[in-house]
Amino acid sequence: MSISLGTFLVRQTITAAAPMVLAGLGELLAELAGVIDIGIEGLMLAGALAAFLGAFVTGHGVAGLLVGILAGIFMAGIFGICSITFGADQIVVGTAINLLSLGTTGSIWMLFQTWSQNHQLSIHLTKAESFNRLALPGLAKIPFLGPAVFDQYALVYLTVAMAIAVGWILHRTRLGLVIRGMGDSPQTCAAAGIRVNLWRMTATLFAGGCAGAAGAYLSIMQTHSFAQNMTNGIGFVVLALVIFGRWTVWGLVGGCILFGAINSLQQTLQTARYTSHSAILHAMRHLPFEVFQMLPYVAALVALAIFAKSRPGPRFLGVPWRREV
Amino acid sequence: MTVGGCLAAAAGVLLLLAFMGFSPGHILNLWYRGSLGSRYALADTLTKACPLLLTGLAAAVTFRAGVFNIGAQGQLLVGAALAVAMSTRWLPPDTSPLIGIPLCLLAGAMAGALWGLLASLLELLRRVPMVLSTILLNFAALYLVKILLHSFLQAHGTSAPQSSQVPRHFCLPILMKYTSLHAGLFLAAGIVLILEWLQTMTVFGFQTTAIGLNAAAAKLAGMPAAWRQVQVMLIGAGCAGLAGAMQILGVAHFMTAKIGNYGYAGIAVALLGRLDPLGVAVAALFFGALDAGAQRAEESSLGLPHETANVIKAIIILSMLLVGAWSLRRTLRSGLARTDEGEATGA
Amino acid sequence: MPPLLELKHITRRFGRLMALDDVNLRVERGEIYGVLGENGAGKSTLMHILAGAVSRTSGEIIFDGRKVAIESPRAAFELGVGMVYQHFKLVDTQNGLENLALFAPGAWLKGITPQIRQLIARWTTELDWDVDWRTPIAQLSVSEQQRIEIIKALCLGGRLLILDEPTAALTPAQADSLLTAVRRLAQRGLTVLLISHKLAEIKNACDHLLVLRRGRVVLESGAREVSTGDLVSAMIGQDVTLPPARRAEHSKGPVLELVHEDTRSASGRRRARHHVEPHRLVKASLRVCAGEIVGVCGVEGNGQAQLTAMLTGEAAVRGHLALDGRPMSARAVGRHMRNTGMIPADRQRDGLILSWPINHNLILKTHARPPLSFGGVLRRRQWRKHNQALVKQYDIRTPSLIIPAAALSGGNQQKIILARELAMRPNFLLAMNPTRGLDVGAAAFVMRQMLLARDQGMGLLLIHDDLDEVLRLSDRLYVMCGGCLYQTPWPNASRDQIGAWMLGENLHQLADAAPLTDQVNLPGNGPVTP
Repeated sequence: MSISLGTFLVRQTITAAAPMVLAGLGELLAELAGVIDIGIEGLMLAGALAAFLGAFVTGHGVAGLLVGILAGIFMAGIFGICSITFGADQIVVGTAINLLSLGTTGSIWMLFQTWSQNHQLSIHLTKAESFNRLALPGLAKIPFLGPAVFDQYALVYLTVAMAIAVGWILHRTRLGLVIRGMGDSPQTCAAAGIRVNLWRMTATLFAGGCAGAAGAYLSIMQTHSFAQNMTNGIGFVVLALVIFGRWTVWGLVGGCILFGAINSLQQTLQTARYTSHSAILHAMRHLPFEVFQMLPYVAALVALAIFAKSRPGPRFLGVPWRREV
Repeated sequence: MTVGGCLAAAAGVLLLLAFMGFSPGHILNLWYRGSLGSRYALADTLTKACPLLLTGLAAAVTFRAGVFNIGAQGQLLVGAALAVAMSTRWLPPDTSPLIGIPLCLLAGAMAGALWGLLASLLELLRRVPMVLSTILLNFAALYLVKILLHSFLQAHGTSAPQSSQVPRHFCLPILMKYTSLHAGLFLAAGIVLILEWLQTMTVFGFQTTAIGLNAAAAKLAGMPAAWRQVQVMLIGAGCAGLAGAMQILGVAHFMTAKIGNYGYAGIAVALLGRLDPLGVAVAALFFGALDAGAQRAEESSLGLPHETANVIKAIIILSMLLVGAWSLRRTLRSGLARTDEGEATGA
Repeated sequence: MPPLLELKHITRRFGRLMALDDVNLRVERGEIYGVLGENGAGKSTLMHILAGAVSRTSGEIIFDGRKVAIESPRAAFELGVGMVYQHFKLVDTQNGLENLALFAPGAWLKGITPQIRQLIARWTTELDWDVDWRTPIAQLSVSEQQRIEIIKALCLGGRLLILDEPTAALTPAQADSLLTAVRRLAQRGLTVLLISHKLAEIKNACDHLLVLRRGRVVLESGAREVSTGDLVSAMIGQDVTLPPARRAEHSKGPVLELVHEDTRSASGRRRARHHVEPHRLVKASLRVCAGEIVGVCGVEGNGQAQLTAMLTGEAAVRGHLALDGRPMSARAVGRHMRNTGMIPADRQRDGLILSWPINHNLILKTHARPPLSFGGVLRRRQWRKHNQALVKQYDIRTPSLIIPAAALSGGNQQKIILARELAMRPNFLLAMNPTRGLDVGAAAFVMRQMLLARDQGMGLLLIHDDLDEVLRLSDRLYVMCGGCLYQTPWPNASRDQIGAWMLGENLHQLADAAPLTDQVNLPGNGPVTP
C-alpha cells in the first residue's frame, strides 16, 4: 500500500509521539504527586531491553511487553525506596538510576550479543515475537486519515485510552484530587488521613510501569531490536514536555505530538532533501544530518525558556515528605 | 563505612557475574592486573582518573552550592571541541608549545564555562530547572560537536566524523614511556588543592557551602546567593571543559564524538567523594582503577563488558545515598529530641 | 449520660520535653469548652492528639463513654471529631468543593458525590453562611477560607468541633460573627473545643475553661466563676524579673525610615496565588532611631510578614525606605542585610544552618569582615577566639563548638543567633518573636540583651505577638491591624487601650500612618517625656 507523504508524516508523528505520551503520563502523575523522577530515561531503557529479552525468550510480543513493564516498575521501586522511603534527594537518585540502567543494559546487551554470535542467532525479533501495526477494521479505510491514524501499533490505541483515563482520574475523581493535593500540599493530605508516602510510591511505580511500556514500544515495536542507549534522551525530552504542557494531560499530549512532528519531519527531511526538487530542501542538502537530530533538544530548551516561567509546578515537587514528630 | 559500601557493591556485582558463569577469582585477578598490578597498569589508572577527577570536581563544587549541574558531559564535549579548534585550526602551527598548550587548555575551560553559564542564565532569567536544561544541553552539545566534526573540524580527506590530529608539539608531555600518562595529571592535582583551599579557607567556600545547605538562611545573612551560584557554575563547568581539552591534548590527540561518558561518571565520583575536593580525588582514583581493570577484563579472553564498571558505580551511588539519607534522618531525629520545642514540632 | 469526651492522664513527651504532663479534662455534650495558654503551653499538642495528628505517650481518651485510641486523622473523623487547624489544611490550588471531596472517605473513583453536597447544604443552612465553593482557595480571603474549613470539619466530624486559634487572623467583626455562629451550633447540640490565647473572647464565648501552662493544667473552672485576673496569673505564672525598662531619654539620628502606601485596589480579596498572608501591608510609616526600641504589636497575619519582607529586601516598598540614613531599593536592602541585625521568626529555617557546626553558625554573618577574614581568606585563629568569647558572653551551653546547631535546645539556638547578630554591632536590629518557644530563663536573657544593646546605642525594631513583652521592652509602640500601621502614644496609654487597638477597635483615636514629616508633633515621636 503506497501512501502520500502527508499521510506518512502524520503516521510517523503519531508513532514517534506515542512512547513519549505513554512515559509522560506516568511522569505527570508522579510529578503532580510531588515526585520528580529524572531516572525516567533509565526506566525506559531498562524496559526496552527487558521487553526485548522477554520477547526473545518467550517468543511472544505480549510477554515481552509485560516483562518490560515489570522492569520499569522494578527500577522505579529502587528509586522510590531511596527517595521516598528514605527521603534521599530525588534528583541525585534519579541520576544514579540513569547511570545504573545505562550500565546494566549495556553490560547485558554486550554479553547477549557475544552469546548470540556464538550461537549464530539473529538479534532481531521475528514477526511473532514483536508487535506489528494493527489496522483498525473499517476505520483504516478512511482516505488520508485512515492509514495515518488508524494503522498503528495496538499500544498506541491503548495510550490514547490511557490519556483519556488519566485525564478523567485527575479531574473527575477523588483519587485525582488526592494526587494533585500531594504535590501542592502534602500536609493537607496527611491531615485527611492519607498516607502520603504510600501513595507517592504508588504513583512512582505506575510511572515506572508506563516508562517500561514506553521502552518496550521502542524495542519490540518500532525497531524489533535493541541498541545500546537506544532511548537517546527521549526520557529527558519527556521531562521537559511535562513542564511545557504545564502539568496537564492535554498540554502533555499536545507537546508530544508537536515533538513527534518535529522528529518525523527531521527524519523525512534528512532523506527528502536528496530526492526533492524544492529549492529550500535542495539548499539543505549540504547540512550535516546532525542538525536535524539536534532539533528536538534545542526545541525543548527553547520551549522551556518560553514556558517554564509562566506557571509554577506543584509546590512540593521534589520535596520529600516526612511526617512531623 | 564508605569503603565498606564500595566493597559491598563490587562484591554484589561479582556475585551476580558468578551466577552468570564468570569466575570471580579470575575477574578479580584481571581487575587487579589492569589497575594496580604493574607500573603500566598504575599509569593507566592515573590516566583514566584524570578526566574523572575534573568532571567529579565539576559536579562536586556545584552540588555543594545547591546547583544541580548534571551537564558536565556537554561541557566536556564543548571544551574538547574548542581545544581541537584552537590546536588544529586557529593557532599558527609554529606557535611555541609554551604558549600553545596553555591557550588550548584555557580555550577548553572557557568553552565549558560558557556552556554551563547558559544553564545558569536560563535558570536565573527564565526559571528553567537547572537539572533539565543541563541534560538537554548535553544532547545539544553532542550533536553540535558532531556537526563540527562533519564540517569545520573534520580532518581533510576523510568522510568520517573526526578531527585532524593535534600537532605533535601541542600535545601534553608524556610522563612515562609506552603509556598515556600525561602532564595534565599535575594540573588536575593542582586544581584539587586550589579548590580544597578555596572551600575550607576562604569566604567564598564558606558562603557557597552555606548556600547549598540552607539558601534561605544564607540570603538573610546577606550572602549574594545568585551570584555565588553563577560563580560556582563557571568554576565547575570550566573544570569539565578542561577535562575535555586535556583528554584531547593528553590522550586521544584527535577528536571523535565518542570521547567517553566521563561527565555522567563524574556525578558518581562527586557523591562518593562527599563533594569534597580531596575526597573527589580519592574517589576518582578508585573509579579510574575500576575502569582500567574493567578494560583489561574486556580485552581478555573473558570478554566481560566494561559496562560492568558503570553498574558498580551506580550501585555505589545508591548505597551512598541510602547511607546518607539514613544518617541524616538519625541526626535530625536526635536533634529534634533535644530541642525544647514540642509545640514547634507538634504544630 | 456520660460526658462526650474525657481525657485521663494524657502525657506527651518530645525527647526531653514534657509537652503535656498528666492532663485531665471532661467535656459535656453541647458545651463550649475553652483551652487557654500562652504560646508553647501545650494547647495545640493536646488538640492534635484528639485529631489523631500526634500520638500520645500515655493516658486514655474516653469518647462517648467508650475508651478509644485515636491513631489517625481518619479514626478521629469516624468518631465524629473534626478539627480546624490554625494553619488551615486546605489545598489552595483547589476549590472548596474539591477540598471537601479530598477529605471525604472512600470512593476513590468518584468525584463530588451527592452526599457531599447534601452535607454541605445542611451545614451551610444551619450556619446561615454564604460560601463560595467554586473559587480556588488561594483566591479567597482568610475568613472565607475559615468558613470552608469549619464546614469541612463539621461534615467530617459533626459531633465534636475543635477550633485552634480561630480568631487569630480575623478582624474583630469577623471574630464576633464567628463566635456567634459557634454558639448557635452549640445550642443545637454540637460540642466545641475552643483554643485561644485571647482572654476576653474566650471568657465570653465559653461555658467552661481550662488553663494550661508548660504542659500542665493549672486551672479548671466554669467560665463565669473565674475572674480575668485569676486567668492572667494562671496563664503567665510568676513574673519574670527584668531590669526596669529605662525609657530612652533622647534618641539620635534615624536608623530606619519607612513610608509605604499601597494604593492598588483596596478590596484585598483577590490575592496573588501563593500569597500566604491574609492582609497585605497597605499603609505604613515608621521610624526607628538609634538608641531606642520600637515595638510593633498586632495579631499574627495583619501585615507583619510583608513588613518583614520589605525590611529584608524580599518585597519592594511602594514609597521610601532608608537604612542607616541612606535611601535603598529592595535589592540594595538585600545586599545591606549583612550589616543589618536580624532575629528571624523561624530560627530553625531562616536563622541557622541546622546541620552545620555551632562554630560556623556563629560567624554566618560576620565571616567576611575583619578580623575574621582578610582579603577573602578566613583567619581560623581569630575565628576561634571570637567564638569562644561569644559562647562565654552569651552563656551558650554546649559540650563543644563542632556539634551541629540542630543538637542544641531552642534557647541555646536563639542565643547563637543573638550572639551573632549583636556581636557585629549593627546600627539597626530587626527582631521577630525573639522569645517565642523559649523557657522563662532564656526569654529573660534575650530581653536583657536587647535592652543592653539599646543602651549601647542600637536601634531595635521588635515585631512580636506577645503584647506584654513588647510593652516591657518598647520605648515607642506601633500597632498593626488590617494591613495598616498605627502609631500609639505609648507609654501614655494603658495596656487595655493598646489591646483594643490591636483588635481593631477605637482605631480612630490613633493617627493613621501619616507621612513622617507630619509626625513631629505627635506624641511618642522624637524625644519622649515620661
